[in-house]
Amino acid sequence: MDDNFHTRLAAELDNEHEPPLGDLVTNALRQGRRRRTMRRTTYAAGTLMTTGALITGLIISGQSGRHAPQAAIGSAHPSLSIAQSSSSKTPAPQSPVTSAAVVYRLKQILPPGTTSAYGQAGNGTVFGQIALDRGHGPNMLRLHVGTLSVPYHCGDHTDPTLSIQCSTLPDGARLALIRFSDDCNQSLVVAVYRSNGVNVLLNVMTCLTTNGHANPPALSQAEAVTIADDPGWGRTMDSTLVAAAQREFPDLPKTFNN
Amino acid sequence: MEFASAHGPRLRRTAYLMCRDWHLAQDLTQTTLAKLYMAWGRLNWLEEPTAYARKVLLRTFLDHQRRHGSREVVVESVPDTVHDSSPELRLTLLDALGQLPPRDRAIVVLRYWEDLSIDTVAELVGASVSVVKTQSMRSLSKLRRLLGEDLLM
Repeated sequence: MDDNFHTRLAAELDNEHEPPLGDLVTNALRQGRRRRTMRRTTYAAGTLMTTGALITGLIISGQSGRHAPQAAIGSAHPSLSIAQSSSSKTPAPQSPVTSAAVVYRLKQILPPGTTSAYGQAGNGTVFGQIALDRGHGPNMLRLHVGTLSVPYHCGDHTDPTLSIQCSTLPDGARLALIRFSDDCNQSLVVAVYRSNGVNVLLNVMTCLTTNGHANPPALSQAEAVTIADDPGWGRTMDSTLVAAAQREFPDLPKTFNN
Repeated sequence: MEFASAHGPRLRRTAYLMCRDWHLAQDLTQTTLAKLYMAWGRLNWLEEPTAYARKVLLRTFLDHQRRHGSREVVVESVPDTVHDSSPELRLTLLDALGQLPPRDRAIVVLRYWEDLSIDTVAELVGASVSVVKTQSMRSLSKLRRLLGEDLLM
């Protein structure tokens, strides 16, 4: 890349009557705090809406038979065999991943329990939400499929509320286990980064429960890693699954912002 | 706070190159930094803050264009020759940049001012690599015609 354009532009900018920055940083912080407060209010309202949708959904869907309550926590992922057995030598037709497909897939591969509080991010990113009750009360999970970069700061850093542990999984994917001690929405974040550029984030939350109580997280760390590293996640997924997801969740509520 | 102080001036210059209005550039930069503040806890491990800031700035700029429309007059047809020997009348590169449509201008700024790769710019603007390449070439060609000279790239 030739420097001529850059140099010339820089010179012309230097000749501009560039006004002082003034209170740019202060005003930005103030604006950010205001937006954060508004977002928290939206979260609370979204939780109330989700609870209403949950009650309606349970009445309509009835007992699927797929999610038996009181299941043992040790039986981590019986449905993974269902997901993997669908693979064949000829790749199945693929469709772009959707939040509905994320929720649908989570229902397939989560440990046994009762699921509820289906939702998606309000900003259009592929980010699905589901609550899982394994007999100790429900708690929330959110999973994002995207093209994030590998974290550039594994290990020690200055923020005492944040811990990041990075490693490599047996399948070669990079794993980051992130814990925010002061953010129950991100009590544990499992991030898996694949060499093909597909990255998965799984938020294991300890708040925003739908029964008004603080319940244990829905997944253990090991279970969360297994879920996040599931080979079924991708920027495209099985077209049959995506279509089935659209039929089951034609209008997934937008329950949170990202 | 430290990031905002260190990178605010540079971000505002980039914003100015995109929107050609210092007041709007200030607003766009302030909004970008506010969004960065909200996402900061996630950013520390999610992606490099400067890259995220550029992404947010671009989206904020394009959103503003969509909501408010462009008040700029963009030259659609360029005269064959605009070169004038008088330095007072010669178009500056900044002026010529301002003649590009907002999205094309943003692509040129990201490619040649921020020195980002085609792949990165394509991801930022949500277009394919081939589209970014084509639009970059067309924009440079337009700049050359406006400036009436070879613009080495």
